Amino acid sequence: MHAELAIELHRTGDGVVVARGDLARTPYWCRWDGTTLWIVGSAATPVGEDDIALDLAVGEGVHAVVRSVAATLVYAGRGAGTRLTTRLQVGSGASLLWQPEPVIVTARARHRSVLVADVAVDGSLLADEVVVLGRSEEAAGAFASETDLRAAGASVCLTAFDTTVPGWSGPGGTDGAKVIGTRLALGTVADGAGGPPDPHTAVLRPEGGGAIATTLAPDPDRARAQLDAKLAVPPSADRRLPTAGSDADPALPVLV
Amino acid sequence: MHGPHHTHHNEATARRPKPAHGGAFRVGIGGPVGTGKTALVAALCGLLADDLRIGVVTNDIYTTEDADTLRRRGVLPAERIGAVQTGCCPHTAIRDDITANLDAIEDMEAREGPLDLVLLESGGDNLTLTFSTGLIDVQLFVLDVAGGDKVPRKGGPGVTRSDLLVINKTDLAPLVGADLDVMARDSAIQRGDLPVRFISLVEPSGAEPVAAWILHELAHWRAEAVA
Amino acid sequence: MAATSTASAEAVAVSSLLLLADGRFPDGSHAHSFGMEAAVAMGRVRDAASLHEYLAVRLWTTTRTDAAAAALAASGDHPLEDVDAALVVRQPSEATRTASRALGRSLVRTAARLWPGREPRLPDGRPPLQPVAFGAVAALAGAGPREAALCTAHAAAASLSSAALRLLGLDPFAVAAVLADLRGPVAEVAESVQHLTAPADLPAASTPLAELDPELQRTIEPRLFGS
Repeated sequence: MHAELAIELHRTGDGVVVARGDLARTPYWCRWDGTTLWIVGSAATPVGEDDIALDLAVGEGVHAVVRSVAATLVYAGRGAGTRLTTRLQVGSGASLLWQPEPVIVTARARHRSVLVADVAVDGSLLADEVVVLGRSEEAAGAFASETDLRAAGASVCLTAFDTTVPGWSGPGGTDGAKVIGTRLALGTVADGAGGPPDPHTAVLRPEGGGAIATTLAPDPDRARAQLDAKLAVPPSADRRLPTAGSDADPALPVLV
Repeated sequence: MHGPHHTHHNEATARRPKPAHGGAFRVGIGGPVGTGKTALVAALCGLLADDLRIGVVTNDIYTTEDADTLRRRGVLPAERIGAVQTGCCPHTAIRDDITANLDAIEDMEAREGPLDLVLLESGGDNLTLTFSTGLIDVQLFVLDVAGGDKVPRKGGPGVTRSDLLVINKTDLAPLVGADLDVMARDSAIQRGDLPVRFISLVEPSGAEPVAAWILHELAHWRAEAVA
Repeated sequence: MAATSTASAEAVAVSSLLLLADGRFPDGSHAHSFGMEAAVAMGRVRDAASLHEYLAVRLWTTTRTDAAAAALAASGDHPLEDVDAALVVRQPSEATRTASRALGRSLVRTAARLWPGREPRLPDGRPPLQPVAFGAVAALAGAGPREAALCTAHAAAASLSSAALRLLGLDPFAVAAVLADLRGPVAEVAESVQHLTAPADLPAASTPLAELDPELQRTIEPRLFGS
């Protein structure tokens, strides 16, 4: 099945933010509650040869959070396998906190995930991708992931990984870790690499700006905690979140 | 022993051509672990830092503890002390592939402005260690009395061909039963007319003979460039 | 460097390949572990078998990207800064880029000695990242994209295993067996990037630990390798 959703979050003249575009297209549908866009229905897909694309544009001056109701379970692939393409655009003076639930790659999955995020010069983005390699007692199927982080259209960081590469789960790949967590940050005030040294997490700093925290963990909660310890979500990015990372030194904000 | 400017009986070490832009006079300091290279470097800095702008690059395993110690002792400002990690290849880093050391010296001079003298300490190794002439202008090799009075007899390029052989810790000779005359004689056999200095660093001024030799070599090197 | 020779262009290319691939070529890489020091410190690489696995995954990810960049740089079809910029975007790790530019600088220095006035530089004067500088140097030496990619793939396996050997005291014959076993993948990786024609085509594959290890290495105290 092939599905494309294109959503724009737009600030109207009287300051209200509305969601325009296709919020519902089988198998996905999304609910905008004024500050958070909820992705619902993701549990039913991807499977077989599903090719899903989600385009989200966060308009000027809009501050948005995106969450999903449930984890995305990637089921058995067929033929060319499943594909999920996400394109995020953050406009001028806008901010996006993108924190969907994890993606779980089941044993017979053959899945490809592409994330392109383009942030305007004075926009800000904080985007998490948490991948669980197989359900419990199960190894992951084939999973290829590509991430393209752009500042005003120019790529700042382009990385990819592929679980079918020889030695992937070995000492130079994941060392058998169950969960890979990645946090992209651009144009946002995020705490630098503080906290006690953590051999499973590093903050990468692309030459063109931004920061990418990458972590290996046994479960999604630990992955999030490890990411938070190294690159905390600044409170201003989501007024509804508990102020995670607020115990970090406020004198150390770093514009990434 | 102070003598006139030495002649090389052994094969002449082709001197690094004095760079057109100037650059510091580079002195390599090699020798086995524990012979007192670091103490010698500290003492030399103490004696010469008032007259010369000095930088130190060490290939020895260098910890933040070492850095803190040097800072507290005030030997040199921290910015003038650089550490080079040799990837467990102390010989290679000063002889076969001198890249990392060249980078360290160039970076320090770019950061600190022109220096008069760079002391480059090797990563503490055995008697076969020798510096590349692409890296340093003169090299001194440090042995110590506690290593045994038969060491000079064993030879090796450090003993036979270094520009200056330093035999340190002479104060320990009676305690370890070392015969300084034997060491002096054996060194002369190995080195011909190349100089040897016997020192003790119990007092920092004990490095004076080595400091004097360095100043002499520095003056000669600068004169060569002008010629 | 003398340019005329009666040997075929092919023979000169192979001869150049051997020179550039020789572990004794002074490119500064012996002092770098490319993340291996961290893998060893964390106990992930501890014997020949785990070394083999580590090399295999690196070859198909970060090394393949480097080989592609080297091949493009050697082709002469693109300004070096375009290849460099495309590679930079695929190397988010600051530790990796710093080491890569230091090694690029070393190649520039070598090129300046061997081919004065033709050494590779970026317009802003910075040294190119190592694979880009290497590709350019390979071209100066009379080699092409095939040789540049092959050298890069070989050197990655050789450098990583050399670091492991030194840190762990691995049996050199066991390590040689690992490298021999990886001849196929080394050649396949090099071949797999020959069809690429533009910097935008550079592969971007990596692994979590390929990004983490160079960053982790910087936190090891004391560090034995430069990176």
